[in-house]
Amino acid sequence: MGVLVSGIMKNKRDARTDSELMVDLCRGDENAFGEVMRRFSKPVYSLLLRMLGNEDDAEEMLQITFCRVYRYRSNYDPERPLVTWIFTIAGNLAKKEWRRRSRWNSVPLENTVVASQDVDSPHSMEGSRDLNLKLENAISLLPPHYRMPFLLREKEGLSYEEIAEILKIRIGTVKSRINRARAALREELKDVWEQWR
Amino acid sequence: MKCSEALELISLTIDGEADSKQERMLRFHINGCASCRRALEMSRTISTAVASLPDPQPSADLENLVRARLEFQDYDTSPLENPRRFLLLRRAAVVLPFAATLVIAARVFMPSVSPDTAAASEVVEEQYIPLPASAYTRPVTLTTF
Repeated sequence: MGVLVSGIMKNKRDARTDSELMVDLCRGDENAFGEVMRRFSKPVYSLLLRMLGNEDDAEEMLQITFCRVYRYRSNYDPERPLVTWIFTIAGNLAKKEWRRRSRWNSVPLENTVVASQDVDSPHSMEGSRDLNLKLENAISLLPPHYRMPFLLREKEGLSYEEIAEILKIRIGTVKSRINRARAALREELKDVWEQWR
Repeated sequence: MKCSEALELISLTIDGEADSKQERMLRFHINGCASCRRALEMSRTISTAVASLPDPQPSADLENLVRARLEFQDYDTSPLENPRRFLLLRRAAVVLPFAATLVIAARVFMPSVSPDTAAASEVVEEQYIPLPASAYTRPVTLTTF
């Protein structure tokens, strides 16, 4: 019975806001940390995988991101959105990894396309899968400093202000990087665009 | 309006950040510019497609893995992944063999001191008796002045 109740509790969506979860976590509620991981693991992993290009690195960085969330939980300001704070941690780790790769030549710098083609959705047809693959490939060819603001905007739907806060750059720079990322994607995808429409 | 300005406005419009005046200006520009019109259509298509890209799934065991790391205080990346520490290691990897080579070269090429010579010098040092201070002063003569 107890197992059944805990299973139901686990499946039931936690109604607490992100900030409330963090406040509860600071008070010692370990379940709140589990809920934070459930809420943010997918978008953070998605960003890290597209930034780093391979699953092992993305998984490692994802774990470290949540370890840091737990470790520095008392530094979190409940007045600010949790998503910004978590993406800042993940973004810093991704930037650090990119810096390490650019210093150490033996680590391959070529981009690996995210394995989104493995996702089996009932609607995924061969054509759209192929287009997704081309799109993923075009995104992976973007320079990292364009790719990150672009993904945060397009994939996560964050505002320019939030992206500027995460990347610690000015809003004007965010706008210009997203614009350049779009221009690069238009150029890269101009041949496949006609079949896309 | 130049096309470069229009392209900036296209990006703002797609993100919903352009004000009504900017949207009007863009509409006016793309009415007469096929290239920017195509750029707007392409950007919209790309934006929709990116938003609907499937999200990859992290490991189902993530929570346990994170909790295990926290338990073993394995919070950070390994030292090799820390750029600063890694730089120090890389410097050490250059400096240490160089220093070792210098030491070996010094041992091989420097004239070695035989044990007999060393013993003799010790004997000489033992036999050295300082002279009295008067021995180092010049005798006063008339020519001294």
